[in-house]
Amino acid sequence: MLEKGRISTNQLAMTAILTVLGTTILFVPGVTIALGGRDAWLAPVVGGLLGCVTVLVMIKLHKLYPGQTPVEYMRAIFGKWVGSILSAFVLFTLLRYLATMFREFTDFTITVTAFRTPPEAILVLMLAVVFYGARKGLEVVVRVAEFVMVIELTQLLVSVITMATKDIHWNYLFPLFEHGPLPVLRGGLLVGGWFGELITIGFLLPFVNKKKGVAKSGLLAIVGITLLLMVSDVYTLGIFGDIIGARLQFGLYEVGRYISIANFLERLDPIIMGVWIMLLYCKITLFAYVVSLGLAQLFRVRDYRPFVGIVCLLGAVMSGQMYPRQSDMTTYFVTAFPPFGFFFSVIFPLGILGVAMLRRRRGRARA
Amino acid sequence: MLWVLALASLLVLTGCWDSVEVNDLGIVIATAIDAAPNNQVRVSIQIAVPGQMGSGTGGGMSGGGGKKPYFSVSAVGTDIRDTNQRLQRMVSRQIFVAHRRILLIGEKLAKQDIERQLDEPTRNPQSRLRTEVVVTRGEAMNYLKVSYPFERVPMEGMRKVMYGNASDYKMDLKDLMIMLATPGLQPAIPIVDLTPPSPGESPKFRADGVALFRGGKMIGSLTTHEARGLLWLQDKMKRGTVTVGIPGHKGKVSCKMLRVKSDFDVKMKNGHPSMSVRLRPENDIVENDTDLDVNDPKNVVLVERAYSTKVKQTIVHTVDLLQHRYGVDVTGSSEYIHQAFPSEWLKLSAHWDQEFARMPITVEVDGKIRRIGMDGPSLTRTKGQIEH
Repeated sequence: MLEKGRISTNQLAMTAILTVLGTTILFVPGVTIALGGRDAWLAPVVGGLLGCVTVLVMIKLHKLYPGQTPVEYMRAIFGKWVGSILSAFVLFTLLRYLATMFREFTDFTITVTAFRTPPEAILVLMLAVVFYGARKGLEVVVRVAEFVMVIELTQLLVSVITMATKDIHWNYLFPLFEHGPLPVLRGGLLVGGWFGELITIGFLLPFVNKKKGVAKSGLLAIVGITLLLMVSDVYTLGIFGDIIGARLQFGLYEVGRYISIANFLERLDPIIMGVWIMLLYCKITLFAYVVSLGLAQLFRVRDYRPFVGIVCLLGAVMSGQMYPRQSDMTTYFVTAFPPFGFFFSVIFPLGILGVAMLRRRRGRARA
Repeated sequence: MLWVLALASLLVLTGCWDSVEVNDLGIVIATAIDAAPNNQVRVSIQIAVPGQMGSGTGGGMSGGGGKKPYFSVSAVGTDIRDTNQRLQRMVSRQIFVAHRRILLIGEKLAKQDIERQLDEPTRNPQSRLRTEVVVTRGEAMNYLKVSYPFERVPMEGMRKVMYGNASDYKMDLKDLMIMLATPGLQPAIPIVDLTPPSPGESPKFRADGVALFRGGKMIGSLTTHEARGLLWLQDKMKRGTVTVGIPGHKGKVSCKMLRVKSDFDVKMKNGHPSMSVRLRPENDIVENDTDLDVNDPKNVVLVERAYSTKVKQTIVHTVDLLQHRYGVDVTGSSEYIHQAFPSEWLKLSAHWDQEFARMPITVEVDGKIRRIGMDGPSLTRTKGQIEH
């Protein structure tokens, strides 16, 4: 056993929430509004439904192969070679997601504050804490997530909701479905791509201490994510409208910058920035942990910790190599990411589940 | 392990690429943008001098030269950022616009094109979308030379004149961008003017109506009175005093509005919209120099009627100007149509200004007087002069 830590169902739910929210709360409003127009605030519901599929499939698979991570049971389902190739595909995709997070982090920090600071310098600071956290094991990763979730997210919501509500033009959220249901679906598919990151809970499920209530906490997490994303969308859309809102790079951050209470309480952007970096830290650590653990299992190494450093460095290098320009990343989100995310987090797990069920039935018939 | 990490972090943490000390920042309070010959742009900035802020009394500012807590510089360049670089050559501290509260646009530039020059203030991560915008009569640069007694930095005084507590109208960069980028919406930006200078006294800032824009170009302006009609139409009139004459009685009554219930209703017929505006303002009487005894409901009804007629006239006049003289919809009425008839709106939005010019707008005002102030009949009159 590589990991001895155990987590509770509540911790699972909180980690799952941060898994999706870590990046999306800041980036998603702009791109969703670009695809969904005034209906963008409904898109998280569609995305949430896609997320439900992912979570339920991962839980079902875990019931079929209790105590195993996807890397282990894919080997059991598909055999040594095909299973390893599929696992490598999953891990590589997660590594790419990790690299994308690093890139989002550096792009954001450099754009809004540290213009001249080289991205490497910012990355090194993040890498150091991620490396430290991920090596400490699952329990630490999850407990930090719990802590951040309770304190930081509350702070974010309280500061935005209490201070920005007065600036919302509610009519920017209507009329509903003015261009038919297609924009909502397109926006939803995009958000669904991020919900697809919930595939990582497949790696956490073996370490949940109680098997009861796992599905419930998974669905609770999805409801939570959907609501929080809707809040983020409603504030961005309600304050900036569908046309300006779609062009903003960092929707919720702009909301924070726009806050003004009595010409006195202004410029709350550092709060939002700080909170977001904390959220992102949790997400990155979790991904670094999951990829390292998966790699260790893939290569049947006894300890995952030697992999953490490699994964972090690879992610950091890829973050610069994958997207030469910031625009490349934005374009990737709007064009290639939604269909790929749909494949990776809905069709792919469903396919694995289908094969697993078939095998089981055949195995039973033979016996 | 931890020690190695801690030591390693020392290596990275010492390099502060972006560190700027506060006393190396030139805090810009206002930027004025003007048109310059050869398609160039003139940018003038007013910078606060923090050292002069705390000391001395407010009165000392307008007096002795060189002691002002602000100064202004101006330069010409091809675009804002190019000009900024030229400005930087004259300023010993790094120009820092994060605390800029107001952006002045010269009348000439407004008439040419504002869209080109407003990208920088929205793209720059320092600059804020809350920055308020005004159009100046004449060159915007000249406004930075005016001193103002109330605030330490004159431009803050101007901002308060235009957008302070006395104003209901708000036009910041965010609103302006929404209006420039959304089909069917056109901006109306408040105009600032200078009072004519009298000997021994510097001119003062004065709000002077609004500038109307179409496609990013200023096409005309409304006077302060006409702008009030626009405020009613935009549902932004939240206070304001209206002075009316009562038919058959000498003198005037002033009514101060407290709140208004408004109802904007759009209808669609054969693909053409019509709008009805119903306003129910509630007022207090704040001045009554007529012979009416306003303790008598009968007389109050007279005032209410005169008030409603007057407000309606104001609005109808503004509608007429917007529809027939300028042919531009700055009222935001398109938003109501967008909400109520989304599918029709898709067709209308392409040529909304023409459609707006044809749109029948009916105005109905039902003013109410709730309270009458401290006395019933005017205290200045003898008993025989009071009309009961």
